[in-house]
Amino acid sequence: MSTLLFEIGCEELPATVCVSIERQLLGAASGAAAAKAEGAEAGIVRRQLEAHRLWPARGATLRVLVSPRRIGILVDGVPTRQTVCVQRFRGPRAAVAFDDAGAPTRAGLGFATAKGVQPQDLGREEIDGTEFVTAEVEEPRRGAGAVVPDVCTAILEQIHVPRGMRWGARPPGAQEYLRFSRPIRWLVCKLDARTVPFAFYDMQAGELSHGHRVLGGAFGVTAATEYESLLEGQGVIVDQQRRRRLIEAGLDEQAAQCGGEWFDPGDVVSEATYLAEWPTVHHGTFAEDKLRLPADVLITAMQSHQRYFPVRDAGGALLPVFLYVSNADPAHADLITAGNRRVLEGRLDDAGFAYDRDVAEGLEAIGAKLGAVVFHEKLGTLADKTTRLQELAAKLAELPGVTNAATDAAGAADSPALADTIVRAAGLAKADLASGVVQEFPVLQGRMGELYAQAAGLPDEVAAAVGEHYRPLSATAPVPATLGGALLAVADKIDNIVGAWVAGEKPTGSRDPYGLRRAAMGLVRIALEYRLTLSIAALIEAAREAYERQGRELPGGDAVGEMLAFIWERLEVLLLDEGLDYDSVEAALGSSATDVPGVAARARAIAGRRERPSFTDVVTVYNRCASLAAKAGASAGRVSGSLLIEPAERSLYDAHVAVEPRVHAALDAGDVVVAVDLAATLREPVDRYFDDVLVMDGDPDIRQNRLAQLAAVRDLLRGIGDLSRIPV
Amino acid sequence: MATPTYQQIISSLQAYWERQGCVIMQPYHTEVGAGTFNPATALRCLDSRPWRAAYVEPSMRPADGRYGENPYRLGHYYQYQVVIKPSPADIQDLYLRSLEALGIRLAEHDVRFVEDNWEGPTLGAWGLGWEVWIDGMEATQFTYFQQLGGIDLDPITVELTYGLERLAMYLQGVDDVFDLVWSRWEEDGEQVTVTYGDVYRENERQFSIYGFETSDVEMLQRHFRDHEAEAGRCIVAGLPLPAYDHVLKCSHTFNLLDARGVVSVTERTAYIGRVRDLARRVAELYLEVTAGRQAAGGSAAVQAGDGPPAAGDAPTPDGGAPSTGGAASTPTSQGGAA
Repeated sequence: MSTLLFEIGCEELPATVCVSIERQLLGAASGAAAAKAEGAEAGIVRRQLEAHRLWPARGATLRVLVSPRRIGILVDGVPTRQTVCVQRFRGPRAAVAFDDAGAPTRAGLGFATAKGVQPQDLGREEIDGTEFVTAEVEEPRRGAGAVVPDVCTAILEQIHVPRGMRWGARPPGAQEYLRFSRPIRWLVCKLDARTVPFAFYDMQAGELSHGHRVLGGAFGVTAATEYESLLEGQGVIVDQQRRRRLIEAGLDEQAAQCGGEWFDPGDVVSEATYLAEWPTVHHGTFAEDKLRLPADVLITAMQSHQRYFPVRDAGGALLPVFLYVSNADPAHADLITAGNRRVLEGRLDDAGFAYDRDVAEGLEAIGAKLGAVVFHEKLGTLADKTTRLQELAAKLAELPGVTNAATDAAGAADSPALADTIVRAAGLAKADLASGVVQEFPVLQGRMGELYAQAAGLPDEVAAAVGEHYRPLSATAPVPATLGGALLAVADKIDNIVGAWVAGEKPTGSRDPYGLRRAAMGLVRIALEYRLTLSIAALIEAAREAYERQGRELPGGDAVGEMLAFIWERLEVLLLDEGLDYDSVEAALGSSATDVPGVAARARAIAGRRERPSFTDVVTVYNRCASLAAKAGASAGRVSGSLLIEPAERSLYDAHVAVEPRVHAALDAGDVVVAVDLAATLREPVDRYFDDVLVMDGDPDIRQNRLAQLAAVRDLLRGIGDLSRIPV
Repeated sequence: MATPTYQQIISSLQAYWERQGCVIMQPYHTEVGAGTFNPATALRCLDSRPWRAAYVEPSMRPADGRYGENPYRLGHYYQYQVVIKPSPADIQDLYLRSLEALGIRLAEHDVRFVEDNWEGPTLGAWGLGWEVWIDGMEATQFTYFQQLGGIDLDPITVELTYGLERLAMYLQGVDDVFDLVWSRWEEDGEQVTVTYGDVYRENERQFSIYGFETSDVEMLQRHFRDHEAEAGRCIVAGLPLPAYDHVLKCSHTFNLLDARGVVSVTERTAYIGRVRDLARRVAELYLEVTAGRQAAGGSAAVQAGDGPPAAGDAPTPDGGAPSTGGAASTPTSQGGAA
């Protein structure tokens, strides 16, 4: 067994690329689990070793070490020779290969000779009643050293980088440029202490590697097993997990020295892990008067531009210090800290200029500039968007299903105040996009609007709605905390979704550049949490009208149907994630409910009841009625009492009339389980009906009346769901 | 040792890159938003002949002007631009040594290459690379050009853009760009200094007033149309270099209109599209003419050869392309000059 090292030396790779390459090489499972992963789960390295028969049956230990300037692949347990591989070839029919006496014929000899086996070693195999001769041939087992160049070449060629680049000039004879994330500058290939040289593109793999730019230099890798320790001597900690632990420990220590704790809302640690080969953590200070700026501005200035870490005291207040990860010689930390401090002070001065100017100008005045900012080429400016949001907000506040939520939320129903709040908030929601601070720090959109709204003395609910309307920021992030924020968020999201169809850029497959799936999921989650029982179709219609008033039309075809399906799909995903079964969810989606909480309540009720016998009754009633009622077509008409003849007919009619308003009431109240139990009581009269009544009577009026009765029962149950989806 | 003056920093870079075989060019004669627009970069990167050049480029971004009142932002500043084609394998080391030539002892500082990709929409251009940080300060934009005028480049040109003011502020330990020491000398035993503010603050004030308040919009609009038409005529006449000058004029005129706040959203897209279209046609024509001249054994721009052209070669060609966001000289962000 040997240890293989393959190092790809690069100019500084982007952090995201480092993470991606590590995953590709190692496979979906990482660490020890990767060694056991099979097939597509296995990463490029293992797949290539297997393909080249250098992956031993009992597995090998695989490590992928990535730092900004190198990708190191270490495999411990590579067999010295290729693993055994026997190929089986089928030859002529046995009756042709051997004569009656059992001696090989010319054909048999020829096949044996061609495969390099003795005639007596030929095997037999029967296919469809005919016996053929077979030859088993063991493939040559080449030494690992002879195969490793092919493995490494294949690994290099299979790494996918999202945005590849070219560099230098094409070497003579090369038709294509080599493409990689950043230029590749050296390759090291070692099998234990042995160098495995090979040529790749215009490079020669050998044993020469390069250490840290300042703390190390060029050096020879004497043996694969020495790789990590040699690199450490050259100022490189190549194991990314170790670097991360060092950084986190350093942050803990430095924060403690400053008398606080560090925090990292932007997950800068993950990036910093790939920005230094020899990470050490240090702290610096900034002028205390900068603390007058909003904490979000300070934190964002530290994190987004400079990759620094803020520190807060036990009470959560920001301290005038920053922590940073250095890649330099720690002996010169004071000089380096001074440099970083000056840069940060400059950034904060600049942010302060922008902030003061924004506050002096005021949110309303800033918002007046939105007419010059494009929202989308085909959807107009942000001023156009603001107009639509205001219209939508006004409409939303009036839509049935929202007023209920308002009553719930406020305790006291005050929908005029709610309408006023969200319309005002809608008018200001996008204003901060034209502010100096948000142009500098886009991630603060919404938040700056909220702060500026507060500074302008606007009511808290208006400021909160402005601040929250981008929420939820992810599938698990919190939804807006106020009803006003929730409604404005719904308006913003539906405007984005409908806008995509208006602009002819609806999401397809994996293409969703505007994050509309996330928007639709956010909309669904808000509707659930706030029990917004408004019709999704009506919501789409309101957004469509707002576009139409600006002369922006949906394309032909079934755009509305597509948008509805797009939103319902998100609810489906959410309900399945909740653990509901597919049939129940499909049945609920097929119900006549038009609102998110209604569909969800039905899915949950069906899933909770479907195992009970009484539910089977409901499904049976639905299926029996639906299958015949389908013959009545769309125009079943009303049931006429005067045309009822049979007693069983009369009793179903009575039962239906009795139960119908109660089912509706239960569904309206969200008590789907009650509705299901009520529907179950129809089983008995329906069964008797089908026993005693001939629906397809010769008299067309009577026949139509009976079909109308069945259709009425079906439609009543359809309020619960499309129960034909539930197998009984 | 005394900290280097602004002009000494420039001299050091000139001397260093001259030693690396670069043609030391002078600033271009037409206003540009960044050194990338200088034809020594924008057109020279298109063809297959080797090329090494370095130069100071005044960069004019009227919208970034702040009347000389902001310590970090300028409407007119300087970039130091180096282009080498094909990009050499040791270009990062060459760059790092240029910092040492400026007196920065690398062993005592934290120099990083942080991912940063560049796109110049008006030129149909993009490239990949980094911004180089020195102790957290963005000092240089380092880009491997991939495409220009929509054309895949072959071979690849590497571009280094030093933000001169920012670098000088770092070297001199100054927090206000106008306090930079531009030059220093002794006169009758007295030390005399001239600052950046002495040289340029009034320019910033006047050009900010002009750009934001005074410029004649109708004249600018007319000039844009005229230069656009003239560029088209030059293209038809098979003259990519004069055509490119008019593309630059269009670009600068657009920047002036933009600073004046009179370009509506739709117009903006349209203006950029018009400049990009011209730049693409110029790039295609430049390649055609260059290839044709080479085939005829002539020198379209400079003589073809393996090394950089020697002094006394034919006058160099100019083409140019715009760049946005090249390591700007101002300490903080750059505007998006078209």
